[in-house]
Amino acid sequence: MMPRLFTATGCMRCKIVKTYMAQNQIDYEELDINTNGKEAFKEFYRKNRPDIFRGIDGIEFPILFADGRIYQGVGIALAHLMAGETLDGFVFRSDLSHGWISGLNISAKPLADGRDFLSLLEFLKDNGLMIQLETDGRNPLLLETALTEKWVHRLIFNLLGPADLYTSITGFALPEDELLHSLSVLTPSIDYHIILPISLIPGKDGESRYLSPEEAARAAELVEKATGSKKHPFFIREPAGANGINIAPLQQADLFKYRTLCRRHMVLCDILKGEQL
Amino acid sequence: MTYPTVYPTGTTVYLPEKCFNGYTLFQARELGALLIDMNGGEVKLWKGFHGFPNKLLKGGHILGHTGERSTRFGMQDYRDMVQADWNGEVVWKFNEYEYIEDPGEEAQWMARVHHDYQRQGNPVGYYVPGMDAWADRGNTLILGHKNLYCKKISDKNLLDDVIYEVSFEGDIVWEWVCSDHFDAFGFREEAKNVLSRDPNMRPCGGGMGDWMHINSMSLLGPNKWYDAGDLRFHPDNIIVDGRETNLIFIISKKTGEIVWKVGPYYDYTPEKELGWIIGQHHAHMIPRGLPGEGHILVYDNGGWAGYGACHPCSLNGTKNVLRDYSRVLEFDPISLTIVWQHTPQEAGLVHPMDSNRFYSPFISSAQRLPNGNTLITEGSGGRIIEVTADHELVWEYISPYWGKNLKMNMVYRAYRYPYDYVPQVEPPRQIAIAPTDVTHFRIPGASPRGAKSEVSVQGSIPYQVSSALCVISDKDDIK
Repeated sequence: MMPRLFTATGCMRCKIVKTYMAQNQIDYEELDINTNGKEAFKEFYRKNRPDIFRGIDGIEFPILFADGRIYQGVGIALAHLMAGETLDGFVFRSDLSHGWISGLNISAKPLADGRDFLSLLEFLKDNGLMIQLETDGRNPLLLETALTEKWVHRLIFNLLGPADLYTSITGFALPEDELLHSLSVLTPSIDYHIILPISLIPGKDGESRYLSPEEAARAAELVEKATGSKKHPFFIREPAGANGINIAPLQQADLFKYRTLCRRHMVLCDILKGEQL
Repeated sequence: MTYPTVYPTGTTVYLPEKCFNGYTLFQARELGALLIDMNGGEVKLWKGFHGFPNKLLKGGHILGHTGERSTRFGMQDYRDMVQADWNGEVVWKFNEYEYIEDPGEEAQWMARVHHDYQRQGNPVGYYVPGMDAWADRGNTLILGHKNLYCKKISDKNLLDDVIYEVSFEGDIVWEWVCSDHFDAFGFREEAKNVLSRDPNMRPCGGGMGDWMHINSMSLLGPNKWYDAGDLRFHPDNIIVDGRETNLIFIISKKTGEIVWKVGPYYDYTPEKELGWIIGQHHAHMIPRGLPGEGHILVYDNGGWAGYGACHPCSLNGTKNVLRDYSRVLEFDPISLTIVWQHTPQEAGLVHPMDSNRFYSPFISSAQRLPNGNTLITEGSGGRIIEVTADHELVWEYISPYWGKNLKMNMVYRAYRYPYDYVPQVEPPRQIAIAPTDVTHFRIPGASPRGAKSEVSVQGSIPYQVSSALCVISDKDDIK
């Protein structure tokens, strides 16, 4: 069955997907929800309501329906068209609008060949979107390329801890030299923030614990070591709710210890509040 | 506030038998922390040691700051919180609140402390029997600054007030940010409108809005209200006042919420019993063990403050309430009734014609003393007085120190401490100074009072009791 592309009249992100499909001679049926696709979308929406995201600005378009799956949003649709399922996890829903796109994680998992992801970044950039990219330090060569080519407008560096804890936190190992490599590309020429989430670390005995203030400080020390500077926009993010895990929540006062120790290496360190960024 | 060109400085009145005798500590303008005895004798100067304010610890230690951030970039940001001993040696210091890099200045950590702080052991920073602040341990609550954006208030860079608690080891263990609680202050729409346009913008650092301007911060300490079950008055809770908003409020130490307040408006009950408090300083709860314990004591400056409706004296709605004299109020925090006050009237001045002679439109403070007297800093004129409960002036001191940079002898806040707080020196001699009869006081070269020739004009009648001046006074019988 030919892919169906639900679009909205005047939608810039829809136009980007259409451009890609045209350039690559991919046949599809376009259904503009304001004109020829009005009824079709109503029916489609009725059938797939739980799978269609509706944000504060309404439903995000375009929506690509191909091979029985829904790909909503320009990033996710393009990732599918460019690389099939290869980029699953690397591209997710964007929560930015007005010319910006987020939901792009260059470190979702180890990626030997990142050409597809880099091509996606380049295409989005060339078509006028400003890109907010996330990394946790993995895939440093891809990160370096993306920054060198100036495809990225804002970088969120989720520093999960010192390198030796990455396996426990993410399930994937990260050699310290790779983490240092990724951190070393942070320069004042780009807009970036380093965020240190206080993660839950599973223990061998089944008990979980929080990343400790000392471990957080070791991570901050790595940033200083990699960049030779103590001055980076560095934020501590308090842990998200520990769903189903029997561990006492951190108190506000506990966070100050993290900040105090991290500030020995990152003098601008502060505690992230709400939608501060 | 109304001073002649020539007037004495130093101690001008001293009635030892009616005073709470001790040492008085204050920051002498552009000189340092100065400790004086009741006769104005300068017992100790910590030269160049800043104090916003200075406080004395039992044993002769002093709290203060080593300096202020460049005023090109910061507004009343003091670099650090320092405890020095009698010999000026630093025995404790904290500055690691924010790392500051100002153009052309040395990058450094700063406490950004301003206006107040409290060392554990004493809730208010002045002498309370049995509640001495600790000199060798304990946490310190610090009133500080933080620049941030809070779109709920304004789109402008805000100079926000924060309170943080630091351990003796230098760890921050608690923090409260004022703008987080904007909705709790009860601003009317017109005030919100004005705040969004001009949150008291100051020019330093490219402009920043000192929207609340907290100038006092102390703990409630043990009190009868909490003992009676009113949880708003938990001893750990913190009372502050915002000069720019006319607010006085209590912060729950546990939750950070605002649990009690007066202001920002005083035109409805029960606040209207207080009269409109304007630009106030040093609002605190009188600690247990002192006369008036549990009441709120505040220096209600008058002057100009508040946000609200525009009028001819406030074209943009900022600083829209005004008064040209000061009041010291002691009021019940439950009923909001005034239980004691020292205003121009109690000071013996004709109100309102002569009221501006008791007036400091900024700074100033009031300390309740163990004998029931009140030490009042009428700050703008550098005048520190002690008055009895029935308003007799029993001590008066005028600071002789005018600044070179700022040509005022202003005193931000003075504190009185007992002699035994300073074991390093013997208590001084106390020499009474009776109030001077100024009608006969002359400086050399001035002629004495008394006409060389005196006549009466036939038909003249005696002067009247009523002043019958251009404006009505409290001496007029308007009934």
